[in-house]
Amino acid sequence: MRLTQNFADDLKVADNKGRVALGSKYAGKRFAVREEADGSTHLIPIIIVPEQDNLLTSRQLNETFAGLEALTDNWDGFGSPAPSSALITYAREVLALLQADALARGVAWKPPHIGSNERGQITLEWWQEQRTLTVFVRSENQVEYLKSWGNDIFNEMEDGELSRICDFIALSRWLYQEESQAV
Amino acid sequence: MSTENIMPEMPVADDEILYRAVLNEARFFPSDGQGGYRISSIAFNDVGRRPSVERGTFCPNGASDTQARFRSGSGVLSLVAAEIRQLATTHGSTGQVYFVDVEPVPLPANPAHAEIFGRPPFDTDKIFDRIKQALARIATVSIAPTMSSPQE
Repeated sequence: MRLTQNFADDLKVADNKGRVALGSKYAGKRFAVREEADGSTHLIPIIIVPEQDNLLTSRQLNETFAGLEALTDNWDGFGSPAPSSALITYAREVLALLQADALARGVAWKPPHIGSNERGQITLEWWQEQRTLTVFVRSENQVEYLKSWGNDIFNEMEDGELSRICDFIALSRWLYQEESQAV
Repeated sequence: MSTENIMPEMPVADDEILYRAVLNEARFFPSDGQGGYRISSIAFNDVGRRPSVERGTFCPNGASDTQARFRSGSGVLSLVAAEIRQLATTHGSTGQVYFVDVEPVPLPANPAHAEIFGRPPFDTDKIFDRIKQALARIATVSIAPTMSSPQE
């Protein structure tokens, strides 16, 4: 939520039941109310994560990544280094954020297939019919994605940086949309 | 097919079958939810960005020869050389043409050894990620792994 420059124009007045009309662009959104010592009140936008079948627990995350923690160098027989503990910890946080936001926004969520590449980077892969989405946790500062819908490495694949959670939401919607609507 | 008169240095023919052995664990072969397998792009991991394969011409018993040379219970993927070469494409904005090819790299103990490579070489993670993705898409499972848990 952004404070506007001209407070007088945007002052909101509560009715006699304490209700405030914020306007349609805030419709359906949830806010926490924080009362400050100086008497001011802040509305803080929040996301409620629904408790559905996809429980997000520390134990579940630990189990998901336990296999990676057990890897040693050349784990795949192709010379790949094992991912570092720090990167596994970061990937766990990334996955938790992605799952929480997908659930909060009502976007389909399926657990990814978790692996590691020849650089010791962590890969999260999803498949849906002919579409594939791979998220690469390359370092603690770099998370990227590759989406593909065919074999042509330039015309049927697209990559980019995953710098905002909403980027992943858009990718998820692409992954799970009807085949006929896909790129 | 007899391999007696075939030199390991001979170019890989378009119709040649190539085998890629991968460890028998679910990390490479996630379930497709319908009793089959997906092939993860990490099945083509390679530190030198030149994934190794074995030439079917030098595997008289097919994929099982490759499995025997790797590890017991390994899965074996197969690809066709022509399909690998057909991955060649042109970058839309730079016009750069990328060729994908396979060439023999016979080893003293393994004359069947060959490597998939790029012209120009797969010199960045992003390009190699795309190549691995494409290879996973055109590969098929010749021998299903004797699956063990990815936690093992």
